[in-house]
Amino acid sequence: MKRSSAVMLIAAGTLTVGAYAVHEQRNCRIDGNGVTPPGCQSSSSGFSSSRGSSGSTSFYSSSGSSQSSSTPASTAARGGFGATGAAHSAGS
Amino acid sequence: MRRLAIKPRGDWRACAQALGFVHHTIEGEPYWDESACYAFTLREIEDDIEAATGALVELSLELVARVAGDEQALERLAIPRHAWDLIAESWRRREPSLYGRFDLAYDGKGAPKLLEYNADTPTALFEAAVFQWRWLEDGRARGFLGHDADQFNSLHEKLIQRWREVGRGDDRAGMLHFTCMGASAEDTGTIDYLEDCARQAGLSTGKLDIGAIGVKDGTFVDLQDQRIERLFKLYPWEFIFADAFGTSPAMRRTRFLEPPWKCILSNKGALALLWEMAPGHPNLLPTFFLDDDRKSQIGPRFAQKPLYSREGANVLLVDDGKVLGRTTGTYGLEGYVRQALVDLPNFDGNYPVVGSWVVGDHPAGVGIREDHSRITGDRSRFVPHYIE
Repeated sequence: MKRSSAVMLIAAGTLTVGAYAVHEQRNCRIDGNGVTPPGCQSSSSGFSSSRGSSGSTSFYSSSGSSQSSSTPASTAARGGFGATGAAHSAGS
Repeated sequence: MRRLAIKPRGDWRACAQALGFVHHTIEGEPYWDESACYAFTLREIEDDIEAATGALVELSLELVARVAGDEQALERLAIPRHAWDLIAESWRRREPSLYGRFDLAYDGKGAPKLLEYNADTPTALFEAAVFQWRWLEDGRARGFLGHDADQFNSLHEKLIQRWREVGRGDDRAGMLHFTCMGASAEDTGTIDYLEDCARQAGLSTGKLDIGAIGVKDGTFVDLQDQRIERLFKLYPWEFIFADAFGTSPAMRRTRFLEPPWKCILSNKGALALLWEMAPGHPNLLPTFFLDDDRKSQIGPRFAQKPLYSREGANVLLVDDGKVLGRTTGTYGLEGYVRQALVDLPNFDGNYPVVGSWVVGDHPAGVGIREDHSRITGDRSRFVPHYIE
């Protein structure tokens, strides 16, 4: 055997509700005005941060998992990454 | 190594959707293609692919050890001067790597040959690690594969284990951030999956678009102005170095995955440096920088590739003056390498490339992409495999 199938079965079960399930929530990101689209769970921050626990089904239960808007008080300079990649496909 | 035509599962699309694998079909064309599969013997997997991958890992690390502090070599790779110290320092600290993928030409007969090393931002990961394994499970359960059919695939377990090691080896207690260009479904899917693995390893994570990263008080911050201590970026190092923040002092205050030293290996110039370091190695193809007179040693059959390129862009294949293939793109300003042309196996007009994954420093599985063209690009189909 080249791998442990038992471990994988558990992991795949997690994935069903885990990593790729987030795609289904892509349209649930809070928009630029801080509004959560209809049918999506609301979140105060539009940002997921969680402490992992193996096999948990709650990884993506809050909001989708991306940050989508900055804190109003932020004074950070932004936009300094991404320009070069905009004309390219970033993966390989 | 055999290519077998098989009947696709009637419910594979539903299965893919249920797992969130949404780019199984791209603009009406299949990306995941289970109308065929590749069958390997255990000997082919262990003695050829796995062994070659292990050898290439060792060669690659030896190359980085030689090049990371060598300004002349970094110049040949067209890596900007402002990045040199960062690269050398990351290697001196042996900052950990998560993963990479060697793309190999392999026909089941001769030694696998390295076409290129996707050392920095490899994708096609979820389908190799998870959906391909699900296909195997279904095949055994439904009888279109034997009960003892296996697969070279321990990617998922190794990724989780590697995240545990990365977490243990870093005394920075803060969150692990993930970033990529959010407009790419494939890239966001890849970091979604890797984030999931990190969480299963017990790490605290967050995620944001590459363009949303900020700089404040000399450090990178997220959208909540939390300091970014550790950043997994699915965004090439050459882009980072060229972007405005690439010269920021904040670059030294965040630890990156993949680490800066990986940019040496993702550069196609590394193929020339590897050949220079280990000429005649059975898993390497003769390769030279285009401005190196020794390129004439290659002869009239060659592939020409930009130092920086992705998804098979700007590649030229030539056989004795005849153009066998050519792709367009936006790369090539930094220079090219010329690599001896190797014949990919041709299965009824399908040309497969074996993507051999590495997690940490260990071979971890394969994913096969095939195309009707000799150049594997972002639309090349992913075809599952099993071990007979």
